[in-house]
Amino acid sequence: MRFGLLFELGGPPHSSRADVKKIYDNALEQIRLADEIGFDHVWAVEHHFSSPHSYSTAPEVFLTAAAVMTKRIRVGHGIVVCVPPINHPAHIAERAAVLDIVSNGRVDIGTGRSNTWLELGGYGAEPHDTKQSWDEYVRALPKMWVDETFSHQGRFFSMPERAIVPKPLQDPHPPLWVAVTSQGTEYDAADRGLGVFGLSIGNYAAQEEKIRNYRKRIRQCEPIGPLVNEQVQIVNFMHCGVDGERASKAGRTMLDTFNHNTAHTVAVKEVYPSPLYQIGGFLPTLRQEALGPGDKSGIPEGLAIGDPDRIISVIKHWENIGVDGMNFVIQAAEVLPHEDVMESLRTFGKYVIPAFKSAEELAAPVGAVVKGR
Amino acid sequence: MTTQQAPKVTGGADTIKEIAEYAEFGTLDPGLLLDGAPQMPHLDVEPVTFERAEMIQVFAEIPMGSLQGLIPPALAPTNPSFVSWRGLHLPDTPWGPVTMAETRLVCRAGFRPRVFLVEGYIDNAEAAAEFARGWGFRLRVCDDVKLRRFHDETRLEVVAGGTRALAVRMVEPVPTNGGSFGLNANINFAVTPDGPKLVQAGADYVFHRADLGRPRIDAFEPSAWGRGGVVPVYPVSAVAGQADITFREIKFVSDPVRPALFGTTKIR
Repeated sequence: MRFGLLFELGGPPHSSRADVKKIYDNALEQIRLADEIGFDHVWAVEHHFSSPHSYSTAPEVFLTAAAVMTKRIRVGHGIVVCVPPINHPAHIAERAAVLDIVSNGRVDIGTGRSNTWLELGGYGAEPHDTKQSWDEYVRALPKMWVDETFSHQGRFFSMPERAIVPKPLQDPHPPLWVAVTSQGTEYDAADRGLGVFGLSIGNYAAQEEKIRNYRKRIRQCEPIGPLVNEQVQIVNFMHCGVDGERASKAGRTMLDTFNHNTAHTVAVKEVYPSPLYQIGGFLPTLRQEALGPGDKSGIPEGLAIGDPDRIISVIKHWENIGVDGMNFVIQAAEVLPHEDVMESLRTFGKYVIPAFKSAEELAAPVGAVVKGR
Repeated sequence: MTTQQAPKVTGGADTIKEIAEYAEFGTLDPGLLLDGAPQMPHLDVEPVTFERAEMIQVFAEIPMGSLQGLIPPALAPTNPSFVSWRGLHLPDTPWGPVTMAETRLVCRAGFRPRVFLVEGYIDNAEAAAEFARGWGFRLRVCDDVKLRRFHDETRLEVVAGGTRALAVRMVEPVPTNGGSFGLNANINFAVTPDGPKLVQAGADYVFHRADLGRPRIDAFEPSAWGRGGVVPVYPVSAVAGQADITFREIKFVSDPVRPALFGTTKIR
C-alpha cells in the first residue's frame, strides 16, 4: 500500500495575496513532513479560475518546489488537463521532463480533461471534444519523451518534426495515469496501459468491481508507450488523531468545507449538455461520497478519518479489494489550523504507516511500479 | 426515447454538520418578492404530465457577483453565475394550449443545483392561475409568447406591453440524448399556508426528440422580468426538444431566509 497527499491549495473566498502565500507555505511544510515520515506520493491538481476551492493553477511550479525540498517522495500531476487551448502536449512533455530531472526521477503524470465550465468555458475549450483531445494527447506523450524527434498531424494539434527536449530522467518515461470517475473510464485506462488515478471512493463493493474489470482488461492492453503502469490509486480524505472523536469532528469540518466549496462550482453537465459529461465529474462525486451515510463516528465508512485503529481498518479494507495506493486530501480551504494538519500527519506516520510498511521499505527509494512491454 | 435521470440522492441534514463561516448566500430581501407573489392554498398538488411538449432551454453567463443580490438568503450563488431561460409549449392541457417562458437563475439550495424563478410570461390565464396555485410559478399573462421549432433553429420570443422582453434561439441543432441536459428543479417563491416559502417545483422529462445547438440571444430586456437586474453577458448553451413533461408533486419547501441546508422541510 502506498500513501500520498493530494493538494487542491484552496483558501477562503477573497484570500489576500499573503493568504495565498500562506496556503502554499503550509502545503510545502506538510509535504516536507510527509517525505520524512514515509509518504510515497504528493500530487497537485491543475485548476483554473477556481478560487476559493483551488489556487493550484501552475502545479509544475509547486511540484518543483516540493521536489527540491524532499528526498524520497514522488511528485505527481493529479492531473494535467489534456485539452486545447489549456495545455499543448509538447509543453506538457517538456515541463514533465524538466521536473523529472530536477526531482531526480520522481515524477508521475496524471492526465484528465476537466469537468467545470469555469475552466473549459474560461479557456474557450469545447466540452464535446475533451475525451478525444485527451486520447490524442496521451498517445503522443510517450513518443515525445522517447523518440529523438517528433512530428504529428492530428485533429487537436499538429506540428512539424522537432526534437522535444530534454528527455525525462526516468527511462523510458514517467508513469502515466488517468483520472477515473465516470463508469467505464477504467477500461480507457486499462486498454492504454495507464494507471488509474482517483476512482471515486464509492462503496467498497462498487469499487471492487471496477478494479476487477481494470485488472482483467489491462492484461490485453495495447500500451500507448513502452511502459504499462498497472496501478490503482484512490483519492480519500484523511484526518488522524489519537482522540478519535476530536479527529472525526475536525474531519467533518474538512468534509463540509470541501463540499461547500466544490458544490458552488458549476459542472459542465449543469449548463453545457454533452453526452461526454453524463455525471458531474470528480469533485461532485467525491462530494457525494463525503456526504454518504456515516458510521457511529458520523464519518462515511470508507473515509480515513478518526483514530489510528479506525483508519487502519479502513485502509486494510481498501487494500483487500485491490487498491494499491491512497492519496489523501488533508485540508480544505485552510479551514483546519495548519498545526492540526501537521499533528494529524505525525499521528498517521507514527501509528498507521508502520501497519503497512516495514522499516526497510520506508528507507528505500520510492520507485515507479511499472512493467515494461 | 430517454428519461431525464433523477439526481442522485446522497446525504442530508443528518450527515452535514456545519457551513463554513465565510459561506456566501443571496442578499435579496424576500419581502420585496411579496408583491404579486403566487398564492398556494395548499401543497398537495398532484403530478401532471403534459404530452408532446416542445421545450427550449438557453444558458448565458451573467456578471460575476451580480447573482447574490438577485436570490434570497436561503439560496447560494454559483461560480460563475448563469441565467437560464426555459420555454415550454404545451399543446394539450386541461386549459387549452399553453406557451410559457421563464427567466431563472442558476443557484444552490444546500449543495444541490437548482434554478430560482425570477419571473415568467404565459399566454393562457387559466393555466397561469393553476401553475401559480399548484407549483408557485410567478407568471405574467401576455398574448405574445411564442416557441417555434424549425429544422434549422428553435425560437423563444416574448413581447410584453410592446416591449420585446426576450428573443433567444437555438441554432445549428444536432440530435442528441436528452439525458445529458441539465434540467434542474425550479425554486419558486410563493405564499403558502405556512407563509412565504421557496417551493421546489421539479419536472421529469421523457424525450421523444432532443437537439443540442448553439445559443443566440437576440433580445433581453432586464426590466421586463421581476425586479430587473439580470444582465446576460456570455451565451453558453442551448437545447431544445419534444418531451412528455411531468410537473412533480411538491416535495420540499424552504424558509426563504435560512440556508436551505437547514431550513428545508420535506413535505412528502
